Amino acid sequence: MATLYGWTGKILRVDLTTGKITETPTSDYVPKYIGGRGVGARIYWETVPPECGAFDPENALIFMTGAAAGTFAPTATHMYVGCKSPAMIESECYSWSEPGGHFSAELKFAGYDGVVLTGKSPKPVYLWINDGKAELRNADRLWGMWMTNLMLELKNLHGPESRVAAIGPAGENLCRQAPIIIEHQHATGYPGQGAVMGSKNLKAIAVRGTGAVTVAKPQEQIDLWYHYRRLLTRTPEEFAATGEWPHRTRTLCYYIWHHSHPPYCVGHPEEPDLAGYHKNWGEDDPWLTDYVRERLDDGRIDFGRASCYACPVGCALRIRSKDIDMPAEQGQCNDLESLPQYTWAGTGGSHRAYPHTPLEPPTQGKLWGEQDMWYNHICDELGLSKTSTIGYHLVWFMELVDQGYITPEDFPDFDISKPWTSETIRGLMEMIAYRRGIGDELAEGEVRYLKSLYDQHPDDPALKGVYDGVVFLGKYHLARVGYPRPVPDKHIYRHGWSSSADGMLQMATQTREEVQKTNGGGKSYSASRCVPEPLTAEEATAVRERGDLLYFGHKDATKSSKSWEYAPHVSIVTQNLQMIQGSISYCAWAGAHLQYSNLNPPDYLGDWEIGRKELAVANGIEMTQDEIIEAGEMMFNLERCIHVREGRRREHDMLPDWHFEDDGTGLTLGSWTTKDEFSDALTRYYTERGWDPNTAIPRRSTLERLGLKDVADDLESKYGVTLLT
Amino acid sequence: MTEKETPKKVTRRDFIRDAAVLGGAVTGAGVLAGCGPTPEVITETVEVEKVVEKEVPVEVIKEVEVIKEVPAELQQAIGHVERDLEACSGCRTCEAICALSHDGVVSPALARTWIVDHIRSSVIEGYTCKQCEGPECLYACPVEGALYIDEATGARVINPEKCIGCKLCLEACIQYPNSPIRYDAQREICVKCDLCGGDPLCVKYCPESALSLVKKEA
Repeated sequence: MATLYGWTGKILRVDLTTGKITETPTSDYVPKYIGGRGVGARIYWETVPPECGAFDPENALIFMTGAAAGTFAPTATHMYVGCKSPAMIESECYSWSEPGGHFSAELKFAGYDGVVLTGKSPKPVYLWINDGKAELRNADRLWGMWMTNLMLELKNLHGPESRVAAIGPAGENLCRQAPIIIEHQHATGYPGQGAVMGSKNLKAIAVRGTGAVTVAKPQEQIDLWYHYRRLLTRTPEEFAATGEWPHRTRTLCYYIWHHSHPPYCVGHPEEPDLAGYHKNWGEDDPWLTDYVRERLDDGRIDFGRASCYACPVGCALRIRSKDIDMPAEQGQCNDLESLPQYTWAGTGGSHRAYPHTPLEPPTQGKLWGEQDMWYNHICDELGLSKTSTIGYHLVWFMELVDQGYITPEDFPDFDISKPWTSETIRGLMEMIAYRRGIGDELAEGEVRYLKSLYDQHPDDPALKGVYDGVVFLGKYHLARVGYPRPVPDKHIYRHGWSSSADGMLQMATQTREEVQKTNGGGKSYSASRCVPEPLTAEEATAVRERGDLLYFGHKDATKSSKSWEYAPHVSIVTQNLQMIQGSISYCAWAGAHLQYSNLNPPDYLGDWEIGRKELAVANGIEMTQDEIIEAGEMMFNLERCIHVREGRRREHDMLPDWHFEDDGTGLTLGSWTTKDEFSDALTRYYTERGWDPNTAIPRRSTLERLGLKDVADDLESKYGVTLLT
Repeated sequence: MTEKETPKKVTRRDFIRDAAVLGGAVTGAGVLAGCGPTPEVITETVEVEKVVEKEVPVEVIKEVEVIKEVPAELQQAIGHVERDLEACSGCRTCEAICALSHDGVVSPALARTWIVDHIRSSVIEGYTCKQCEGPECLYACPVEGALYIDEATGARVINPEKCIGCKLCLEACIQYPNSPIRYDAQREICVKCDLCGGDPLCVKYCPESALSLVKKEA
């Protein structure tokens, strides 16, 4: 057999019910399904029956490294984690996420390309993987531990170099949005894999490897890494020389927040009323609170750098705080932050703008108050999602307090009507993680909670406004997307992505809503958005037209974000490339920036072939760009078939009606289009995909063309789905 | 003259023979050479289990009758790589590029510069080869030419053709047990920092500029 470059060749299968551990060859899935998200989807298709519930033992928790993970491929540090998600709106269905960090590389060094966990252990266990060996160990003593103690315990046992993915009390108590926390720095985000892990009585996975990963073309990979590094960033010295951005991370964040998503970019010139929490990022950040400023000055806090494995960017931050006393057993409050998005401060888009938020005045509109630090820390400790637990949605929480649906009596241990202190935040988070009192309902996730409220009070327009704002998409999506923000005086909430045509089409048809439309291609190279030096209007247009022609085959493909004309095609190409991104799996954030880095000439069109190049040098798989896009299409169809098997149809891709209301904010689709026009665009999307436009089910001919005949056969014979030819 | 700078000579034949005879310790007998500084006879005790574990072909033993000699005035390295632990992000780009460029695979266990990131306490330990003035690794190496001084850079370098994988250099390193000399179990040899011929890739590729080549003062 030919060498599988970039792979170790083995996928670990762990049946937690029996404790039996086996290995299967990775070559069952690659190169056809590339790796990561593609292989994960295929394993899910083969493993998890559609009738299985998220917390049933039959559910599989799938960790799959990307094709280039563990090699020196630039930013290829991410790891697919998929399962039947307990956190989706109303119904449980397939979802996934891609946390970064060192875990995927370490797993390959330990000799495994992926881990598939099924069953349910009779008692708490953790999985220890070390250099080609894996064993389940007793976790009685670890069960219930908060994250710091757990990590310290496991690292004491297995060495500081070991990497740990674990759940906190929130996962153990099946909080539907509990993520798996990886090394304190990364989390699996929204789909609630932590709760699934808790349902399997699995507390942690610790991995340590001293093996090697082969690379097809070592020197070419070294050159590619350096090439992309120069596209993405400069050395600290070079930045210092320009005097503009003393640290390169700011460049990345700056462009993420100021150029890729202008509609809701806080601090954006178009929205000066919102605090510029990402305007800068570092010790001379003018937006730092006095609280942090004082402590930076006298050394009680300092910032350090953190990074995913061998990443040329390294956008994360360590915050070492010496004076926030956590409970005695927690030790120092040292926080590792991933992208600043995933922080309390990152929720500024919502709660900062909300005048009723009873935060201490100095924190309002600024970065890193005491509560920020506490919130980050307590979420990590309890294994709660920073973004989805309350984070972005503090607005609706406070709104419900104002409306009287949540009362101070719900919180016997602290007073939520007074300015929030660290104790308030800690108390609230603990109530959720341990499902105490009203925390039990909140732990079901905001959508389920709000739905139950809404069902009880269907006639309250204010409550409907809150509910609408949270339920952004349909039943087969995750609840959260974008950043709900209040519309003043209207008691309603709107999301930032509502105004872009291709973005909305992508959202409506994804298996997971939170996929940056910039991933892997798409319109993100658009010169008008990303070049700091102002081009003349004619120059910017010329660059965009050349890019549009290259990416989408028509010079006006992304001319207007408020037109459906090319949106279906732009969405399809972008989604196919996202699939490749997730399979390789390079970073969605940094990867997007390869396409529109400010460090390149103004007429730089981006490099949408990053996936093709990484695959060629890491795995030795030579494909043309067309073949890559078709592979992405195949895997996207496979994911769709999974959802079709679980009941998803065209009606579930339809957006809630409020999107089509023109509320005068300019944030809704209703400000420029109608429901019929959206529906027509969906039809064109399905037609171009080769799906039945009436049901949104892929046609048999489409699946067969893409090499998914067995999937088509199974859909018809096993699952009773009728396919058009 | 400190012990570190003591020139010494050990023949490979003596080494092997004594290792086999004594089983637990080895006496390195000094043998006079025709030129160079006056050698001293030194005796040292080392673990030899690792030597006898590996089968050394007979013809190799014949080959190494040449006397190994370390001159008193060692050529110094042009510099050494140093890590600024404050600036280090723990990304391990240095580890990846080191193994990939030298061995063609990505493997932190082969990286001649490496770190341990104590994530929770945010403390990073880092180890890089100091290219010591009096290199214990070189003194410890029992094989003529297996650990030698590169003429161009002065780096203390392992010749993979001659290395027998005894790990004595690794264990003699002043940073042991956190030695930046690594053992390649696949090839059964030790590997160490060679300054990449004068332009260390870990320095060039470090995203944080945490690594630098500290030049020796003239």
